[in-house]
Amino acid sequence: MNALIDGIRHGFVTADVSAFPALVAEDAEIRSPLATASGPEGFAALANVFAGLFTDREIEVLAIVASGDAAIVEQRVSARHQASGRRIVFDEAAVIRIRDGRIASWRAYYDAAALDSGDDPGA
Amino acid sequence: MIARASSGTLPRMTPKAMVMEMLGASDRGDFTRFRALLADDCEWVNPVVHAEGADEIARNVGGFMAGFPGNRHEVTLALESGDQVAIEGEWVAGSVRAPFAAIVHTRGPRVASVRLYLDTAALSAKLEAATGMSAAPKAVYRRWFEEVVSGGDLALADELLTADYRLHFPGVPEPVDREGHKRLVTMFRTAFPDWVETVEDLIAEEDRVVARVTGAGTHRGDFQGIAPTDRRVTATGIGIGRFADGRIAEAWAAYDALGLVQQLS
Repeated sequence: MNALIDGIRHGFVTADVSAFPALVAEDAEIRSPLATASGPEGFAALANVFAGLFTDREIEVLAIVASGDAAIVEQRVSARHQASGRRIVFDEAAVIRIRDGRIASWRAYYDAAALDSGDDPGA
Repeated sequence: MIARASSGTLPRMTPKAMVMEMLGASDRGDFTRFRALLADDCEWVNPVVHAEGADEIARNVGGFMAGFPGNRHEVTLALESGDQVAIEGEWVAGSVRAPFAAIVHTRGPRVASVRLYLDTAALSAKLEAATGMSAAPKAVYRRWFEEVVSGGDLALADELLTADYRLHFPGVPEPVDREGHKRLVTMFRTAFPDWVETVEDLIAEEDRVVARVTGAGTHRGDFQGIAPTDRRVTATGIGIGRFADGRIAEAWAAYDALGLVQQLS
């Protein structure tokens, strides 16, 4: 479970999504307040959008609670918006379900409204 | 009323059972039980309520939940690892369903911290669609009674009331402006320094919120020409607030003035 979570986190931070097909089921769904996508290509597309909009991307795992084929990971996402120079920092909880050793679903919970009130520009 | 928990009174539960009991107590509106499950230094973080300390958490969460009678939590996933519990579910209030996830840390027989994740923008939109108004005015009106009238925080009045605010008050022929209402609060709190108004009901409709309150305090200062009696008195009242841009723009108040004076006679 931790290896899968680390693999996805690595892809979103580095934009190297080459491992996603091995980590994500073909019919896997990813849902968040701002986006939905499916399959390894969908996960990769979101990672590429994230990398295209933000630099200095960091994701820090705060907690992982796992049992059986499910886990909820709490993590802190920080990145600098390229267009505005503003650094955003927000915490999220992602509910992850596993099937046959790959991610079957990933649902992220965070307060999208908080993204408008992140740290000061240039922080 | 939030009762304090006495240490060592809780039977040993698993962390997951403790969290489910906490949510169940909230669903039942039993915030005495809810409070008893929290460590005294518990921290509660979510986009709606950020509170520290069990009493404050129980008061704030209880106050929020009281605005949505019959609300409940439907947990679809509950995971436990050591002293941590993670849950996914939906908060249901009438036709509104708000998905959430939470990370809960427990310590011994109590909850040490709760970090709740949900999308407030989506929740606000659903609440507005279901009720015809934002939940915010009810929260603002509650703050008026709990923090200004009961807590004496007059500076907050400038935040909660519009600059052109008008109050229609029994026995006062002309509407009272914001500064006038602050003077009324001061006058009342001088006569009854420990005055607390408990919000019994909050009902919202279009741009107005109706509050039914019960006030109680001890007569320590002059009140309408009556010298201090040191008597404990109570009074019921109704307030109607009209909201504009998230603040109270106009209010109508009615309270049992005769009953209050009779208690001092």
